[in-house]
Amino acid sequence: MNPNFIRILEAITAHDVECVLVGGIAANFHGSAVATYDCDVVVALDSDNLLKLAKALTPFSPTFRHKLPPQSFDETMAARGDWKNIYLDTSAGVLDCLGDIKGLGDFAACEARSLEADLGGFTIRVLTREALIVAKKAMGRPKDLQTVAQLEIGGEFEGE
Amino acid sequence: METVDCQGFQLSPYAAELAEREGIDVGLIKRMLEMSPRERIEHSQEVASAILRIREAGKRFRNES
Repeated sequence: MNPNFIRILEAITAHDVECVLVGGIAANFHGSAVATYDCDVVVALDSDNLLKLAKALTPFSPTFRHKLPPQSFDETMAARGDWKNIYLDTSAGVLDCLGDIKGLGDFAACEARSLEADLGGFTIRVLTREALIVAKKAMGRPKDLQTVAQLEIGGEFEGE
Repeated sequence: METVDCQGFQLSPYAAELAEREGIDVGLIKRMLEMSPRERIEHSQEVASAILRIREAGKRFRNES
């Protein structure tokens, strides 16, 4: 299966889901060349927003990644209301919907440190380069530090 | 700002040291930045897909041998 994160992000924004793109795809947006295998978004965890998320993802047949037997993420599950993070497999790739991230915090904190990005046909909020560096440093794994270095070098090219 | 040569590019001493320490291909970062934001994401996905296909082929090879 070839991931198609652009399609997922387009669907999410078409349904007005409150979210901020973070993680490796956000790093790619800022020019990092680190290959990433999942798409991470920080979402507002209120039930209205999660219902919109479930509707947006329906065409991608989302299932919980760590549940056996497989269980769909649908509007009934979204309404359950006690989510912290939602880890999904979809027909367009692995999608992690996070309630918060290390170093920054929840959706409101991430939104405050995001920019509106034009991805050609739609716009989505993406963490700023500076905020992404803070988050990646807080994660502190070798691949995160590699990403930090790429982001900092990219920042020099872009005069930041 | 003081700059030094790093792989043919002018970077600050800090960034040059970072590139050296982390083994970063500075030209690759420069090429990424020349793409549109959407192209950067799509390019990264293509690379990730290729790596996954190679991993799966390796698994099949090990299972068959």
